[in-house]
Formats: sequence, structure tokens, C-alpha cells
Amino acid sequence: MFDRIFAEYLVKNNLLKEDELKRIYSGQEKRYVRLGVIAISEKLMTIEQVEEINELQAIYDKRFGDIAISEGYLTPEQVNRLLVLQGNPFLAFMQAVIDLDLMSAEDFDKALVAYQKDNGLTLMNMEELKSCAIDRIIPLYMYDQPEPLQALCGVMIRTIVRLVDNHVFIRKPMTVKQAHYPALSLQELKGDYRITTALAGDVEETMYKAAVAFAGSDNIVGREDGLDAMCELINCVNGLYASDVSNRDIDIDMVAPTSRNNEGDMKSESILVIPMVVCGNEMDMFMVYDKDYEIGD
Amino acid sequence: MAKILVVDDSKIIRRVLVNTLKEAGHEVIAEAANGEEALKELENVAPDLVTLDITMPVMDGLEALKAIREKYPDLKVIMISAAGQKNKVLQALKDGALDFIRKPFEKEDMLETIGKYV
Repeated sequence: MFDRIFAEYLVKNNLLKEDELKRIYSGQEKRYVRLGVIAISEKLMTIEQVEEINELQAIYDKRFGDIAISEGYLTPEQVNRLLVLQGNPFLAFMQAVIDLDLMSAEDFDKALVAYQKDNGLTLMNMEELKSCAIDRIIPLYMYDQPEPLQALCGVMIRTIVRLVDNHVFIRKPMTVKQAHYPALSLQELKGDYRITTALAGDVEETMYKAAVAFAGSDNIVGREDGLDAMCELINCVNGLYASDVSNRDIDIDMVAPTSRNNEGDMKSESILVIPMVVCGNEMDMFMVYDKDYEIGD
Repeated sequence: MAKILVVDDSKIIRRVLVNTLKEAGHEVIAEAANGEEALKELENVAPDLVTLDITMPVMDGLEALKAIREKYPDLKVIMISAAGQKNKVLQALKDGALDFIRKPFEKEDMLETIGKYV
């Protein structure tokens, strides 16, 4: 994720050009391989075992390596070795920028220092960002939010990475009392926690692209299908979260999702808005914790 | 092959289910977007099996299941659930559902589960 966040920073500060990003990302992809592929290549797992883990990832919001360990296919030492072999997407991004002679290593490093200063971050924060690990990055953006929102946001981002766009990234969240949406898909969780999660975005661009990535182009026919697919995505995310917290005896139930095809405003005492970029387009996640809300024209 | 009623509030999920079932040679004789619609459809069609989503507006899957078991005790029902609905799935199995399919599902797994009962 930080590769994309930093790329946006570099473009905004005229250190890279927007039209150079495609080449950089292509170079980056060549350098970054999925853990399962490396495991097969290293003859630590079979194709069938990797496919089984990929299916289990859809059910449990857990990392490939963690599930492989719990299923007995890999040891922790083997997972660590695979992670070393895999490398880091941010480093792959940096390498691609340098290899394409778009920035020198020294200038890249200076830009990182500037980013750190501009955002009031510590060295430890920067290490967490550069790890590109979602569960280390989310707390940096949501340190002042209740734990359930941090956790649910983490599940949302990891699920989007797995099922929609592995280059999704977030921008600085904000808390508002009124949030405008071009179109909206929403679901409530109730029970021990009351959380409302929504995805808001332009239907034709953002929702449609994300819907095709999520459900496949054969199944997305019209505008409303985009919203429907986003409802299913939120349902999937909330289900994973509910499953996870049930292990701590926290009982939550999912209300049927709903959507709004026309623009309107969400109003509440406190709405957390997390701007995201999904499939190259802007989409917001709205979260309301333990408060009433209204949506409408 | 079987005659199937597909019940889910998500048009996308219904489309995926219908397309997959048809490709496998089953006949989808009706669709419904909630439990109430499903019961109305059952007054006019006689499926071999129903796929029934748990979380739906108007009448959810658990309520619909109870009504189906009462009126059509021999009708086979398979629940469609999201992760995190373990308690509801267990309740549905106690109330007479034969099995469940978890979303998001792999088509082969879905067909294999349905294939056990038809």
C-alpha cells in the first residue's frame, strides 16, 4: 500500500509524472511474486495445496502464511524464508523508479525524509509504512478511532486487496457530521457492536470497475449491479469480521445490505470517512460507530 | 438433473448461481429476492431443491426455512451464508436445512454441495 501512497506524494510534489506511473508499476509487478507461487517454485507446497489456502483465505481474514502454518503445510521458518524471497512491494517500487532512471536513489531517499517531515511521522512510523503490512499501516491512520473500527477497516482493506484490487490504498481519514455520496452501498452490524459501513462512489466509474473485479464481467450488466456487488463485498467483509470477533465471544449480526442509486448525504453525530483509491478510482468508506444515522436526497 | 429455486436478495449472487447451475445442466425454474417471494413462487412451482440466502430483507432465510419445512416438508433446502453466520447456519441445520454454501463461493464447490442432494 505505501508504494501507491508514496507514488501519489511524488506526483503531487512534481518528483514524478503521472504518466510515468504505468511504467513504474509494470516494472514493480515483475519484481513482486505471490507467496503461494514462491512456495510452489520452492517445492514446499503443491498447486492444489496453494489453491486450498487461497480458498480458505476467502473464508478467514488471515494471511496466506498463517493459514499454511495452521493447516500444517508450512512451518513458521519456511514462511519466513518465503517472505524473504518475496521481497517488499515498496522496495520493488523504489527499485523500479531507480532502474527506469526516473529518480536517483539519493533523491528517492530525500523524498522519503520530506514525506516523513510533512506528515509528522517518526522513524518507526516510516518503517511501518514501508513494511506495506496493512495491519501495521491502518493503526497509523486510525490511531484515534475505536478498536472495532480499526479492525473492521483492516478487514475491508485486506478483502479488497484479495478480491478486488491488490493496489488499493487509503488517504487520511476525517470525521464529519455530513458526508456526500454519488451512490452508496451500506450494511449495518448490530449486537454487541453497532457499526454501519458504507462504500460511496461514482457508480459508472468506481463502483462498476470494483464490481467487475469482484464479481467478474459476465455478472455485471448494469449500473445497479455495481451497487449490488458493493453490497456483497461489504457483506463479505462484515461476515469475516463477525466470524473473527465471535472467537472473543462478541456476538454481532448482519442486517440485509441496502443501496442508494442517487446522490445524497449521510448524516450522523460522527461519520468516519476513509478515502480510498480502488482500481485507480476514488471511493470512500463511511463508518458510523454506535450512533444513529440518516441517508437520503 | 434438478429443478431449483434460487433465493437471494443480491441480483449478482442470483445471476452467478443461475448461470452456474444452468451450465451444469440444472434447471432454474424460479428466482426470489426474499423469503416472502420464495413462498409465493412455491405456490406455483415445484422445485427439487431450494438455495436459500440467510440475510435478506422482508423475510430472512431462517424464517423462510421454517415456513418451507412446515408447508413442504420434503423439499430440500441448502442455505447460502456469509462468513460469521455460524450460529445461524447451525440453527438452519437444526431446523431442517440439508447443508450450506459459504459466500464468496467457488463454483465447483457450490455444484459439489448441491450435487450431493440431487
